[in-house]
Amino acid sequence: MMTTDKVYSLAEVAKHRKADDCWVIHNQKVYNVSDFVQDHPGGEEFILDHAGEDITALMKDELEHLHSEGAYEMLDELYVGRLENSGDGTKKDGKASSGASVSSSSKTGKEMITDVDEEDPDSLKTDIQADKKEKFLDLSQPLLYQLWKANYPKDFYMKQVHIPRHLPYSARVFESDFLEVFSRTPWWLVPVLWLPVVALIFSWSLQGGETVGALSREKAGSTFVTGIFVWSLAEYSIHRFLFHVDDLLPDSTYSNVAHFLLHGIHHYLPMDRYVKKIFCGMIFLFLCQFVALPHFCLSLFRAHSQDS
Amino acid sequence: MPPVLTILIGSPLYLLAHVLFESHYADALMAGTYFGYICYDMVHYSLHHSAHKVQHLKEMKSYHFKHHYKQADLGYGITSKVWDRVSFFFISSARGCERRPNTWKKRNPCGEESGRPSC
Repeated sequence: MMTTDKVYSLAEVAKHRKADDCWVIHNQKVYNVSDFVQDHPGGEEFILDHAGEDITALMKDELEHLHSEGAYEMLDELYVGRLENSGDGTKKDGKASSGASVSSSSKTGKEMITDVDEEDPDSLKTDIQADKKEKFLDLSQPLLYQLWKANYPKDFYMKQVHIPRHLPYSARVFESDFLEVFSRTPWWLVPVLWLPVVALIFSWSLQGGETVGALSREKAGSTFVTGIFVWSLAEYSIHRFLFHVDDLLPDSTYSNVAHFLLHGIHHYLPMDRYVKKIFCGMIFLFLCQFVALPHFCLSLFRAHSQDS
Repeated sequence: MPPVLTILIGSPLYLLAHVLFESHYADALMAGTYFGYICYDMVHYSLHHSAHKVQHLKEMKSYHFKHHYKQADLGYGITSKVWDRVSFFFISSARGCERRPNTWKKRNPCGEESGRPSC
């Protein structure tokens, strides 16, 4: 298996140091990270600064940017071949130096990466591939249906979904082409859909009814600003107490699916540009029902109660 | 945040505001709240996908990425750290872990294996 892998020399790898053609070396293995560069969570410049180089020590350097186990999994998917002479001499050197940096970064070096250091590259490769068989969703297939059918125990689901994965493209959520349209929403659709709603609701506050006078601009403006602060608290509460209720959820496929759609998918694929805003367009159609209708009922109610 | 939630969360909030306040104030307040949501959403997207020059956004980017890549039950704030700091005083060390976000840099008190605290 490993013997059929391509072998590259340091010089060959060093040629690939551009944003659209970027290779790196990690643990004597060569990875083509071109598709990942622009999505690197720490910023693409961090990879490009070390393009074509050995990043083994760098990746676990606490000061530089300590990487999670998810990072090593992502890297594994970009494997292209082995480094030349990764047999005896070089490998020992590599191991010696990585051992040194583990002890120097003490505690931190211990987490997650220990097995990477101590295993030799062959067994590491096998381990990760064994892990892959156990891995829960096939990213090349629609995700939701898989999750629905799989009936994962909650613990397994929660552990897996919080390990970030990376795809060079946007993952597919639904099998149906129609539904899939709603899972792909570019970032600008949120302001395009919602700014008119903001304008509409704000304009209501400036319009006087027959019995109630409109707000002055100052009062409306300061109330609007207060609303922004209300959002800040809402943002925090929603994220912490609704999206991350992980511990309180029951062990069921329904709650796994709900968790996945609400927030799990964003932790699963944090760098996906579209997939997070599921149902964005569809929801817009329900807008009148949910915002305008209550408003309409309330104004009817008020008008009625003021008449009597 | 997926807009389905915007509606599910936004509508009760909208009604609540109308119950609590005179309708014109409620509308102005909710317009501000929804506006805050739009700003949050764009900030959140940009934290994930752009490099930032503004100091605050730089900090929030690294703060939010720690939430994603290191410990999902720390650092819930996205546009600001204020509420993490506030809640630290009320909901602290629920798992015996130091929850104050700024200790991230110095040490990791919980021996983490899967990116989540084990203590």
